[in-house]
Amino acid sequence: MLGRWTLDNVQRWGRETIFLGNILIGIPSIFGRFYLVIYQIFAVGVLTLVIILVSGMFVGMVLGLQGYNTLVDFGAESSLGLVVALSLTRELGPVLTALLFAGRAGSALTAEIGLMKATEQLAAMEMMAVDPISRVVAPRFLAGILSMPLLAALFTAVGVWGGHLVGVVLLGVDAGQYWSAMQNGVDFYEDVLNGFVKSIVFGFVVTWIAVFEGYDATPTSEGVSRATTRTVVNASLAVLALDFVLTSLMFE
Amino acid sequence: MNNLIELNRVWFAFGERPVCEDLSLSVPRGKVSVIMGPSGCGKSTLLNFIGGRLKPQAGEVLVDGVDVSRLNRQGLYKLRKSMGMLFQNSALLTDLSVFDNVAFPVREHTELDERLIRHLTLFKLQMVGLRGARDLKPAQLSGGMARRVALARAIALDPMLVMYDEPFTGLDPISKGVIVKLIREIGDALGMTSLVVTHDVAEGMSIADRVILLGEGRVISHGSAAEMQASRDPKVRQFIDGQPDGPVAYHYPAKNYLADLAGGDAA
Repeated sequence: MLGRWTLDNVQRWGRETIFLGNILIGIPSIFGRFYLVIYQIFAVGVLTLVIILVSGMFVGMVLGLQGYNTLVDFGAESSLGLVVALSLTRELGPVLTALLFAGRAGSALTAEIGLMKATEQLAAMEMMAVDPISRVVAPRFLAGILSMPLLAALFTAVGVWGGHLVGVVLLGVDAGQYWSAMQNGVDFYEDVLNGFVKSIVFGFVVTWIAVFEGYDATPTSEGVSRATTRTVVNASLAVLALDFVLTSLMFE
Repeated sequence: MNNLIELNRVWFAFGERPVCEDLSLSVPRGKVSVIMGPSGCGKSTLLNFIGGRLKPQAGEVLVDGVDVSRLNRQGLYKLRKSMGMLFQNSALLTDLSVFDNVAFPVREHTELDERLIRHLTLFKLQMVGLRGARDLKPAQLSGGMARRVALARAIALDPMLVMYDEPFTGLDPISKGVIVKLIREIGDALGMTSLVVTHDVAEGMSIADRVILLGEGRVISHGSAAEMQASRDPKVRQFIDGQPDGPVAYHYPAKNYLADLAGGDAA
């Protein structure tokens, strides 16, 4: 039982790694036809915008509320802007965006590629001498990696604005203090750039898992459904685990 | 070389189950060859050998004198540009329109300008009678129409060989008639070699220049349609006349019926 499980998983990681290698080989060929990537950025990134913006807004508002309630006891509500901005740029922006991205865009990628496999569209491409990895998978992979940091940045920006809405407009923290605390306390390299690196890594991992699960899916309706579930579960776990590793490396 | 395709002593098994045992056959150039046989006798596997999607465990598969199973990826992709394949479920790209589906292989493999691509695509669509349906999406097509679009796509690059995997299955009589006519016309007008895999005896016989009857991983018989109709071989007769029992047994191999009933699975 345990041996079989181990073997299956080791094989799976092997396939996953080889698959990544094939994608990377296929990527140069799509620079000549970048419109394929643009279209996928629309499908993967732009269509994910609404959920990212709405979630970012609410997360920022909650941060504003909770931060204010905690800080006001110490008379430190002037630091609210700093608390909101740091939580978002360092952690919540990249992590929550990645989780939402896995649920919205990752599941869609897996289902799409899995169904293309189940309906023999990938096999048909192979028979037309078109490599499905460079024609179908590589543009989606690249689009995912390019979209994630942009989405995370928007999530953070909207979140800061949501914190402002609750903290300043509703609860009466001084607007000047809110913004200046943020400006003084948030470091570009230490906070913003590290958050940016995180979001790129998460985008890479989530999209990789999503396209692999689709391509590796058992070509039946049940197989595609299981692959989609696996994408969301595995990608979310990978994001949370990687976040711990990255945080411990970046913010010693 | 009169034969476009030759299989020599091909062996293949899925796990324990043998599909081909010492299979040899040849497909003449420029003719319509029909491979018939009951379901599960390795007909589709055969197309996968020729297209290089499966490799036989022994033996050689020659297409135009080249052993497909020994080609590397580049060689295989080069060979596939001169092959068209019609899948049983059509396998159209669902996010592209009918026009874009037929233009797809041309756009992928050539640098032709858009006006020429338009001419080529409309010509192929006209051949299958669907020039008027060019703006539809695959989801809006009936099964028969989808298969005609897939056929237009398969011949988009004017291949030397077109393979048809069960082209008549699941179609109404009119659509079947259309496909029969198209396979014949494409073979004659464009001079392509056609290889049809089917278990529909009437349609298969009506278009075949040459019939190859497969069973249990071997060639049972081959010849022209007329020769097959006149054959007295009981294996050929059973398939052509559709008799439920005969040399191909009705029962899946099992132990003695009475012993089975008396014993039960629990015992």
